[in-house]
Amino acid sequence: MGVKSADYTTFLFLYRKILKNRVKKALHKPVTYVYLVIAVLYFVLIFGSFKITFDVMFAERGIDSASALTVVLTVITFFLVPANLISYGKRKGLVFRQSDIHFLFPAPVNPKGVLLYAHVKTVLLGLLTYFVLSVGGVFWFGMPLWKMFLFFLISCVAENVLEASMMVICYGNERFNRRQMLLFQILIYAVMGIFVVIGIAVYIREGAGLRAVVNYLHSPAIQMVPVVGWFIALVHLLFMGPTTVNIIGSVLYFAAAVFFFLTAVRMKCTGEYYEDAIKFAEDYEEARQKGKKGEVAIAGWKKKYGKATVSYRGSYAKALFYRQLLEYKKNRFFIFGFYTLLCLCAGIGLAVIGKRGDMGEMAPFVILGAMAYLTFIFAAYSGKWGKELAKPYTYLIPDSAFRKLWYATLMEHIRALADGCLLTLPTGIVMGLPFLQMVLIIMVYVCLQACKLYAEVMVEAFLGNILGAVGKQFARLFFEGIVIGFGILGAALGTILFSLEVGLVLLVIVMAGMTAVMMIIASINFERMESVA
Amino acid sequence: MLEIQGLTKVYGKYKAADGVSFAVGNGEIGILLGPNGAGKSTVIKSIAGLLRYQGKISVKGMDARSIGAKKAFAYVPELPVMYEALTVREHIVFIVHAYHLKVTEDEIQKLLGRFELLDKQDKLGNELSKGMMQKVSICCALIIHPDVILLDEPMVGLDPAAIKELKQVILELKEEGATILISTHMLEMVKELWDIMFVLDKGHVIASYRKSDVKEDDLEELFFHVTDGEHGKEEEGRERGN
Repeated sequence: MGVKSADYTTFLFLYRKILKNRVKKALHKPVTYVYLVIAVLYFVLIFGSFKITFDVMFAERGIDSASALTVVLTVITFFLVPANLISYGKRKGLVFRQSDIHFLFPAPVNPKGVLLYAHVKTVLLGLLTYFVLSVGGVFWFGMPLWKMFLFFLISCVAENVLEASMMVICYGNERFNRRQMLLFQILIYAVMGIFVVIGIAVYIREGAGLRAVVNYLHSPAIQMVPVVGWFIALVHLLFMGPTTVNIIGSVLYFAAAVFFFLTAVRMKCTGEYYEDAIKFAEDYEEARQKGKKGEVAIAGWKKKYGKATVSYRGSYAKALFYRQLLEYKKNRFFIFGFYTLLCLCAGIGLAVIGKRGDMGEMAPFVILGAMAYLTFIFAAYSGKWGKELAKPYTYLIPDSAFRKLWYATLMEHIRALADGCLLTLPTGIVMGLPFLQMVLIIMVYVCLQACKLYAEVMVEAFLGNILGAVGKQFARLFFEGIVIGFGILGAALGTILFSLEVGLVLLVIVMAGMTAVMMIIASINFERMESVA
Repeated sequence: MLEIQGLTKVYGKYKAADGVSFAVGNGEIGILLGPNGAGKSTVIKSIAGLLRYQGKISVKGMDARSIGAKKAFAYVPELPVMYEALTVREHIVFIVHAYHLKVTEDEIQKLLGRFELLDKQDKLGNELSKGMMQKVSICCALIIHPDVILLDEPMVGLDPAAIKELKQVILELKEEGATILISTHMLEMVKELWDIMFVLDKGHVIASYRKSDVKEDDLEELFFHVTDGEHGKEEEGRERGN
């Protein structure tokens, strides 16, 4: 693509050194070996389970292995390729780091080469996926080795050449203005829209069900959709045998790859895209930092704040609570967010199931089960307390660490109360649960959330510097598990010996007590601006 | 030689730079001054080739975006950001590769020594303080032996010894005939360095002075004379409007 070999040496140097130093650093951490064992076990389990899954899904329904493999590859193509093309069209797919902007952008290297340097990161993930699929094709579907090798070769070479060329054209072209690029984006969406239209047509004709989905994925119409469909045609040619449509599609696919490659090579690119890349890099970095803190963050999405006032009814650490209240009041939806919506949907969903009469006496336990599921499945949302830890003035406020922790997290308890009401009340009212039971269930939820919150603060204080994000999550789950385990023991005893209400009261008491102990331990986080570890 | 002609940069409806033109000759030190929001960062990023713009920027007579111009150009950004997994030394070696330079090991060691980085050369990017990063960033720019160098707030975060060394290096570059453009708010730090000064406000160059023409006047006085005048006019206009 007009990129000189000296440029490739530069990029290779960067990759080699960064990878070497990262591996060297990781090997010094014992936790790396733990992660490695977990990753291998997870991979082996997943890899093995796919064979059973595919047998249940396809073989037992009379779908032969070649057809099944083609279906799986088509679905994966839908997941991988269109999303990449759309993001390239928006000039948002490539991730550059701030260090690239500092050192690489002003350097005398071909801007197209810089694009390819960033693209390789995406390619590696794609290569790994196609490698696993190629091996899986042999083990899961009993395909001949040569066919899977050919598939791997095509997906690695042709697919990457085509995708990289389209990426270079989308990012690097300096001929089209923003308006024309917008039209190009619309065109990509329109092409993707064809898949939806075909899907609707198949649904109208055949209804829902696995057979209809299989027919949709094998339909010749799909193989005629430009670029993405042509790749699917090639997959069909390879595994299902030649048809007029898949031969034409495959030829068009290779022709498109050559055409886009030549266009990308000839195209002039002086690096005007750097501006968009910098903007995306900044947004991405911001989102990455927020994500590290457990906040929901989308690159490029800026939160809008309205105007609000608050009257401070207290001093010292209490001021933290009122400042947070002011910030929340400036939010469009106050303290409510995506998770609130989820709780509302779950609450309504449970109420509908209850109304149908599928719950009976089990209603309180179903609600509690849903609460436990939501608490475990969603990573701890750091909320505003996490931000308090990053601000030096939090430590300068002349108050005790415990009060600072309490007021920094108070709003989270209020949020938990609101979410608990949304989860409990719809089903409770529909099923006619006693008022006391509903109140106790809501209190259990508040305790669950508090336990999750303080387990996280505690882990952050003592293991923050030792463990990575995943490690911290495991540690949090461990402590949460202990508290909930004892709580359930108390609840079971109370329910068996007395009544459900007594069981719930015991659950609340045990959890609240143990959570309070965690809270006292965790308050050390607010003593000074560093982790204990 | 660094030449900027009619540089205009628009963000939506906002004109961050409006027909900015100035030039700094070979062996000259230019200072770019202006209050916050004057458009300095936009001009600097445009010169460094990081933004789209209208107008013409040339380095040694070549289009600033050309590979030839980039080979002769070095840039020290205001906020240095290191590759987290590269050591100090590897940053320098990377620049040697990226600019296809022929640099001896001795030169690298000498440069690192000048900025007291010899004992830090095996430290990774994410282990450096802000001041250290700034020193690495400066070393990366100097290893290029640039004909044109752009320094954006280069003294921020540096210790007094490094500031002294940097001033010395800037004077050496000038001696060698390089073109130097420094953007800074720290007037005190550059008052003995400058040859030509440009004051930017609201996206325009509102004044430019040559040191040889204003021998008696202090840099600070000149700056406040121009900017106070501008803001004074603004205040006056506001009062009249009222």
